[in-house]
Amino acid sequence: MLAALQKWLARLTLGVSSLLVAWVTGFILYGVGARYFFGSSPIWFDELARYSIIGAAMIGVGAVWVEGAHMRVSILEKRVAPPLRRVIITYQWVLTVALAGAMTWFSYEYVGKVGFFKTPGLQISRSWPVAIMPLGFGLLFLLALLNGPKAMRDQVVEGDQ
Amino acid sequence: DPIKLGYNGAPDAKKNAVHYFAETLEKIVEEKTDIEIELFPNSQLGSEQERMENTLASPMLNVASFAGLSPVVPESFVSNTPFMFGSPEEARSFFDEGKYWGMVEAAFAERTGGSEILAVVEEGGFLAFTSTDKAIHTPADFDGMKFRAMDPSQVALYEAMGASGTPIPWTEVYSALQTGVVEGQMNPPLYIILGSLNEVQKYMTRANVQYSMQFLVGNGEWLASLSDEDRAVLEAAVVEANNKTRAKVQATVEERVTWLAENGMEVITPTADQLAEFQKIGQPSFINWLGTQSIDKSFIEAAFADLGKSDLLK
Amino acid sequence: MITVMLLVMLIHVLIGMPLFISLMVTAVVGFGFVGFDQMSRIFPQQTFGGIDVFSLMAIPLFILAGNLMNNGNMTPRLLQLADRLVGHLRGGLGHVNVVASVFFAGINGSAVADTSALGTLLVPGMRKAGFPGHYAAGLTAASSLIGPIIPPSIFMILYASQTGTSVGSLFLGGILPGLALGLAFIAMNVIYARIYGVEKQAKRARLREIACAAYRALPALVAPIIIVAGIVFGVVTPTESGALTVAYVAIWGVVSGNLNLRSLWASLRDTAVLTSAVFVIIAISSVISWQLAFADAPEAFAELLAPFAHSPTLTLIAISLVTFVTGMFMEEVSALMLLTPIFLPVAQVTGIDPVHLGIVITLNITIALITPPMGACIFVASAVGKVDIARLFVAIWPFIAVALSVLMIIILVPGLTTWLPSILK
Ligand code: NA
Ligand code: NA
Repeated sequence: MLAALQKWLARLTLGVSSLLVAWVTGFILYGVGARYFFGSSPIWFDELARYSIIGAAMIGVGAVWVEGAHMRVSILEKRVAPPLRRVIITYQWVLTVALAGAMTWFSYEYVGKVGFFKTPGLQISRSWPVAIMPLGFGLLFLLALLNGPKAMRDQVVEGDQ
Repeated sequence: DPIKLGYNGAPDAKKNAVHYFAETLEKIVEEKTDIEIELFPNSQLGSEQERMENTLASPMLNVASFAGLSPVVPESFVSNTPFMFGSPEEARSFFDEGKYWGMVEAAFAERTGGSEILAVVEEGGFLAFTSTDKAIHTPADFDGMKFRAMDPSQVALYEAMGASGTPIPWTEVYSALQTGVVEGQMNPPLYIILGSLNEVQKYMTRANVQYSMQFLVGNGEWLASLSDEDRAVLEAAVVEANNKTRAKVQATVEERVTWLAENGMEVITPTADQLAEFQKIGQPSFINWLGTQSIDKSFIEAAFADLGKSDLLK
Repeated sequence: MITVMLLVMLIHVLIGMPLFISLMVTAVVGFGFVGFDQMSRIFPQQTFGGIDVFSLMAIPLFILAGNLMNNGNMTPRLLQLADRLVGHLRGGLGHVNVVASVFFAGINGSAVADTSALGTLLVPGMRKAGFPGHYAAGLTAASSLIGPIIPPSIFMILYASQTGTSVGSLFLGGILPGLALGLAFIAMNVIYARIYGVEKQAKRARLREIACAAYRALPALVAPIIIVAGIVFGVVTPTESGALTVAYVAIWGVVSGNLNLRSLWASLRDTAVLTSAVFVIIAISSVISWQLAFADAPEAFAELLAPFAHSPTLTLIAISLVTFVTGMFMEEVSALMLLTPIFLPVAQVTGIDPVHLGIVITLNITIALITPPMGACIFVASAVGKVDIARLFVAIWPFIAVALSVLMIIILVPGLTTWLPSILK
């Protein structure tokens, strides 16, 4: 039940994140086109593109964690005795849940603090883009919590940049 | 603990007037008080908005640009009205003695619960237009051109003159100008040199667009913790450092313009009539834009009264 | 402070924590030094600020372009062209590996993508040809370093965003050093092919066959032209060239029937995963960068370099040493973000050209991808080439030595980096 919920949530968020990547690519192309055909692109152009990419990245953080695709080194973890390995895995889990939880709270509070700043392009309250953070870290918190202290999936391929 | 002073730009007193100001302030204050100032150039302590957030929340000094100051006091935008000042002296007395700037300072202190705008720091004189192939003498020359614009007020200004405005981040300005992505931009001579824009721009029009300045802001709690004596020394030091910076900026602006003229740019100085035309066409669009911001009319009226130009508002 | 933070970081990385979580723990410890009262504000502020950067948008775009090329059958055609060109030489597949990396470099800003794509295709073949597996995997990892040196390059974009250097100049400056790196690895492969007694594999391809392969690879070869020409001759900014490349590759793939909805979606999804993994590291590492700046740590580093300030060459060597050691233990993007602001003022005082500095730092950071114990490319090469990681840790050092020699030449001959930008800009 919990595992199914986790799986479903991860797929959904990664789907949203993929759609945002597609949208940004299209949107930047629109910006280039607008400049050539209409002479100028809207003043909020690069701001919206930036916030969309940040959205894609933050919303996916939890799902990527579930997939075990965050960069990490798992050599030592595999070579220690099983009891120690269990300790390490529990520690990894507790720490991830705690940090994700703390960060969700901090960034939620921060959303309130920056409300009176307006973004220079879109002229919206800075709270809107910043709200992506509690959302992203909240998802990480939830997905990690649902996971329980299990060994993280191994990366098939380690990405760099 | 030393108080941290954060600002933009390189720690190079020759190229960065704000650094010169910071350095001078540090020297005077440390000579006369036990206060220690630590300098953080290059936006090391964060971007404009981040530094402003931190200055309002914890002991810190910060030199902010409009990007940092205006979210707290959008009223400050009035002082950025294009073609407003005829000379640096006019700009200085506007900030030093005018009623409008006093109102902005009061609004800032009130909204931040005690933090203060301590000084208006000069950066590099008037902004000038630069353009690639077409020389700009009058507003009519803007017709159909593409310019770099960084906020809606600049877009309004360009559109009023028949051009269009497109946002280009500073790191991409050089190649955007070179490749014709945009055909012009505005900046003080200092930034034209820093960005090597003279390599890709043929014309510079000294239309006194806006006067470039930044704002020294101090955290309220920290200011309140100072003894009366230290506070008085700090204020005197700010004035002294500011005067020195002004003298330096004044001296270097002409040098820079000469340098640009010697390094590939044709410098155009519009006549008084042409400047009046810029004012006539450029200002109303900006004042209209001010109307769309949450700015009380009294600020706009006070600013133009300070300049003795209240008739421009009609 | 730095020692404690480094230790905390190292311990958490070694027990298998994801890098960004390790960075978060390190940041919490860092706040112990700069004041816990700052934590709840600075932590989210700098996390957001670290990725709220225009030029970072190029990263997902170039990753997406690479994914689409792999899924859309462009990559195998590039490989075939490389094979026809140099496949007939002794140790030919090794040369193919290097030459393919050069081609790849023109499309891809990421060395890891290069390692995974070429490693899968070439390591088994190189083994059959008589190369030991650890050499084949090592060459794959090492030649992929050309990727971030020849434009486009994510490392260079990051450097530019931190220093205000023009991305266009950096891209142009990377071309000659990238080719030099390729030549060095080819020379090395000539020697090692003899050492391992590798026989010739294929016959020399006829001109017609080369032309045929070139024709088939043409759509893939057009992509780097879009990128470089677009930037140099004037259509788009570097970020936008990423979007144009994606559009080009996607449209070609769909029209030619090489991409369908399923592979398009897979490319998008893989891009989203990598983007997330990369951005969260950049985001959190900027919290640590802020802490180090706040505690004036760069000043201490700069003082370490001060004795060399009279000589640009010595300064660059000192900078390389610091980066090399940091790069052994630190994730590359974080290392770049952390070290650049420290080096920049020193270099300014010494009078080093920012483009020259940028290429030297980029190459240094790239070399970190293959230095044990933490180098993403070695891990990938060991996984896709099915080579024992410990064996590869040893076998990689000759490649590191070659890359360092190229670095040394680039330090000594600034013209290699500054000449192209100066004539083309
Ligand atoms: Na590349
Ligand atoms: Na490494």
